[in-house]
Amino acid sequence: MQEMDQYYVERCLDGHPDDFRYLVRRYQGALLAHLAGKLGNKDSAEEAAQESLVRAYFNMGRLKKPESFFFWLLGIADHVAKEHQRNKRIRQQREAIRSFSQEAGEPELSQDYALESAIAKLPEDYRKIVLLRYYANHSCSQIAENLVMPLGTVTKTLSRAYAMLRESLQQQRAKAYEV
Amino acid sequence: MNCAESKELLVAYVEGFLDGSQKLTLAEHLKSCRVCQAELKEVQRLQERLVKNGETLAHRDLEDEVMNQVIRRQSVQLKKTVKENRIFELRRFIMKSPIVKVAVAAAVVLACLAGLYLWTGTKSGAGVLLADVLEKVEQAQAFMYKMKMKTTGNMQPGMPSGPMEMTSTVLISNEYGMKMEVDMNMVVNGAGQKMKQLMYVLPNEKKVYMIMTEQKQYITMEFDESVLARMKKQSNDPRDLLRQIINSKYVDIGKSVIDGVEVEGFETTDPACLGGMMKDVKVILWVDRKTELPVREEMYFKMNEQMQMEGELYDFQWYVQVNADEFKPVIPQDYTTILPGGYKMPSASEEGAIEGLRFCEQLTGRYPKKIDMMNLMNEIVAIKDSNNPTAAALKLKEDLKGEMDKLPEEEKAKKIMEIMRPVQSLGLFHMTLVQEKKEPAYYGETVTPADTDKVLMRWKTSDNEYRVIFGDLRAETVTAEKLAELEAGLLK
Repeated sequence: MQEMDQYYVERCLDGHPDDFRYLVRRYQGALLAHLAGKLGNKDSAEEAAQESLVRAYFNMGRLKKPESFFFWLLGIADHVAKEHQRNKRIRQQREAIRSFSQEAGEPELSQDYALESAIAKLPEDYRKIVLLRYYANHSCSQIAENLVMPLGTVTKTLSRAYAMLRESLQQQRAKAYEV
Repeated sequence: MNCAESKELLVAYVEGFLDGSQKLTLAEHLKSCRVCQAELKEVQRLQERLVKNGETLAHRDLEDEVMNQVIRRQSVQLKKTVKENRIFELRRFIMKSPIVKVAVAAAVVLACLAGLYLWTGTKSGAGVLLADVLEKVEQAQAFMYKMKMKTTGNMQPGMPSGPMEMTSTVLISNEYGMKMEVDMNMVVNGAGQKMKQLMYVLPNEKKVYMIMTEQKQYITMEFDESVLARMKKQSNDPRDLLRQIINSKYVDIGKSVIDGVEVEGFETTDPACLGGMMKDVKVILWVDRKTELPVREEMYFKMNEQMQMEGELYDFQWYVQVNADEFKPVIPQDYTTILPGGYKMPSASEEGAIEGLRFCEQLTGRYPKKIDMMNLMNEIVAIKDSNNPTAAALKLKEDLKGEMDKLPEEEKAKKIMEIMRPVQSLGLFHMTLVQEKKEPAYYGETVTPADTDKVLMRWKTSDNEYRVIFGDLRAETVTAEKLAELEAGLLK
């Protein structure tokens, strides 16, 4: 798996842009989940994911460890998400000034926003594993290989991530009832 | 197994990571523990939720959109880098090339010589007749002098180029041409560089040779009749000289002593004496009062706002003996040429100028604002920053892109020189018009190709006649009256 990422990164750098599609295919789900949790809006997440991938492509030359493409991609996505949030705030402020009496239409939430935002709140090491496992369709042994850690650690981390996710989801539910 | 141990294994269980015995023990515990059964349900539900969400997101296909964007942005970026690279190459080539430095140096030398003639023949109040000086200088079939030049500042804003110092020995013969040995010291990218060059200008062969001994490289350049004619005219035609002299503004600055010789000085700030190429010109010519021959010429001028130059021509030896062998360039076998097949120098003709104007217009979408050499180069180089390049500029870039990559380094230089030739022709033609005081005027700032009847450029051809290039690049000879009429229309 590791070598595969590296292989495609190098292909892209060697002037085969079309090979980037394999990396897109591989990580789009994980990237979307990551961003949806942060941005809370399906369309913005998609937009940000595209932007992140395109940026990743054009900055590939700066990627020092081609084998850690995915984590580097997440870093870019974080950056893009921040920009999106900032732009959104500005847009909302402007909109509020323009029509403060009108309610802005609710943005369309993604299919399971609660879950995505719970993932977004996970500590980084846990989040990576969840994203790879369920959104990039890696098996646990692939993750172990990718992250260079024993399989046992992967399952333990995953197990703890489950606990944290459940807790986080429960809190969200509780909050929803309070409101 | 207790509940705590069981809970630890639930995720591994649903993920299918437990071995047979672990699975058995867990199943055993689950059978009897309702709490852990509920816990397992929760874990399974979360797993389902994750898998389902993962599948949904994975089906959201970004691939095509991302690939489209990548390809679109890449082509934009590619065009931009090609543009930057090529033009940058061009700029670097123009500004850093030894050929260009030598060419600039040569232009300065030739201009100085023209300046020398420009002076001569003027009556001074203090006894030395510049007419007599001219006569004597003209009698000299061959003469030698030394030259020192020093530059400070940069050729281009933002271009790192340090000071340049040049000392040369020049030998000029009416019969054979010019031979010049140049020692250059310059700072390139913070490092000192020395260069030794031997340059021959051979009118009989219509060729220029430049030999760089340290680099073991050489260049040959061919010039055409128009350049030759002007070279001859500049140094030999007394009528032209007379016209220059009459128009020259100078002051007699009185007597002085140089190396024990009593001299008389003349000063001019007329830019024409350096071919109209330079700004803030000051030239002082010192003439030996006894022999009535030039002893020293001092020059101060600016190439542009950033670059100053000062120079001195000294150690004149008039009436030297030369033989033909001295003007036969010797190029050792192991030397290689920077420009294979030689290079054709720009032509200083009306046709060349028209071609140059057309070239600039096509490339930048308008006529150049000014047509002195430096400004022309800058305007061409500025295409790089143009936001809406013309079709011709894009085509040039495409051509460069297509061809340049295939060409070896030396061929690239030649290609660029060739591309720039029309521009150089225009600049050269203008320079000679200025030098010859032919009253050149240029209106590229306002005139466009659509202005078929407006004067784009004009110069004097005889007492009552002017040559006019119109906005549509048609050329015509008109009377002074007609020109006045045409230019009055221009002012409206």
